[in-house]
Amino acid sequence: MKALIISRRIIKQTINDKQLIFLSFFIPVGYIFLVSIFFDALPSTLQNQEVYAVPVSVFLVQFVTFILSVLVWVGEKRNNTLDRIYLTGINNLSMTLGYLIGYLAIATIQVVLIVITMINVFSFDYSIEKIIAVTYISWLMAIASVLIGLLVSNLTSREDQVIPFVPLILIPSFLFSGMVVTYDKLPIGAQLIGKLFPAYYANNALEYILSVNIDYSSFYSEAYILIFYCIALLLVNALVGYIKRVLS
Amino acid sequence: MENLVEAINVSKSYGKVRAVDSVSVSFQKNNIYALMGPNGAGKSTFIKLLTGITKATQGEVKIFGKSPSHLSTQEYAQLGYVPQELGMYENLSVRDNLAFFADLLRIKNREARIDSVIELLKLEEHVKRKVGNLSGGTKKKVSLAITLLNEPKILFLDEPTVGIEPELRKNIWDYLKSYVKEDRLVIITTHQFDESNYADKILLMKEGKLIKNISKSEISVPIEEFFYEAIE
Repeated sequence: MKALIISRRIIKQTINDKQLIFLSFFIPVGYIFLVSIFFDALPSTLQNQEVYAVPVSVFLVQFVTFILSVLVWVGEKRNNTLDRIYLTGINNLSMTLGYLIGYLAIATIQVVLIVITMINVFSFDYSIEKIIAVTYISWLMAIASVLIGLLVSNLTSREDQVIPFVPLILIPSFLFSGMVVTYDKLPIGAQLIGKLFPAYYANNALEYILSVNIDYSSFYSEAYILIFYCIALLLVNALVGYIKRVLS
Repeated sequence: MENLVEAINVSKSYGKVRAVDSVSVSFQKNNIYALMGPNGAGKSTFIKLLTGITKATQGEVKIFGKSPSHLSTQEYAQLGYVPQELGMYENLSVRDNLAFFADLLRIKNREARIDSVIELLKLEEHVKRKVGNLSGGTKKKVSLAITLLNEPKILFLDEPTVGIEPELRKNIWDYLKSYVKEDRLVIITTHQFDESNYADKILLMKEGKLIKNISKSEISVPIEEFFYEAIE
């Protein structure tokens, strides 16, 4: 399967690229320490770390995977490697799946590292179920972020065209997903914008699983929405790639 | 004679700049076409249009009689392209790059074929080195080696011999001369006048337009003279 050939190559490239390993694995872990320093400095009334630290850490997953997937994909366009791959007769869905699987392998290690670091740095006393649930949501966020990154890259052809998309996606995702401000208190327009981003559903799922009265049913509902969100993004990516190659 | 590739009134504009302007030309098998012209003449854009990688603003390109977007996977695999920007993974070794593309092209006897292109382009001492650590000329050789892996029916080569030592350049051209004889087609852009001697047809571009389409045998003057007279 051509998708697996592409994903294997991405993993091999990552192993060979020390800078990418550093950026992918150590920077997010370092960020968790920075977040903990920030929360420790807050007044005691605002130090409900569980409420903020977990969603913020999950957001870090989104931040890093999004930026990396965008930059690597655009770099491939610039180096003409994508042109060469397309000339082997690969279809758009296999291409997108290949990149997704490749980055997912990297993102999975990233997520595990971030969750382990977060639990230790913030000294959270989580049950195994909670740890698995947080890891699972972070992982789904990583998938969604890779796919959003691929979509942005599909819509652009150079790094400089990508730059405006970075704040356009990350800032509303951070502000309007209910991560830092209570979602219900946002104006309707901001709420609708928030629902466009996976962070909203991830944040909801985390709230259900981290509350005192764990609501598994609502947690699974939000997780399913995230899964559908990822499938839709995968298909949109393949469609955009097809339109750009065939119809443009 | 069968047209393997055809450009019908093809134009490509980037904003107000017309990089390729109403070019019509057909390419037949068993021939090497040298696409020449001064810098900025539109050679690289034209070759990308011919591969179907870049879409024409106007006009039509046909490969095997079809629009490139309607080619089957098998037909696509019959196209080989050496881009000017090389198109390789710099942090993978030469062999890993070759293996990756060989896998995508589903080449049988993969290792034997990889060894064969390595030998052809004299890359033996570089196989384990990362592409990013190679000289420009060696990178060109690797890029060409990737393209030759599956011996495609149509080769699009965008300045493939730049930076390659003269002796090996001659070997590559000799190889291409015998390569096209098996019902294949090579379309190549080049700045080197001496290389045009290997071509069967010369296409001369200037400011996006095709100003000459002539058989090499019909040129009675030295190629430099022909070139400079034509672009004046």
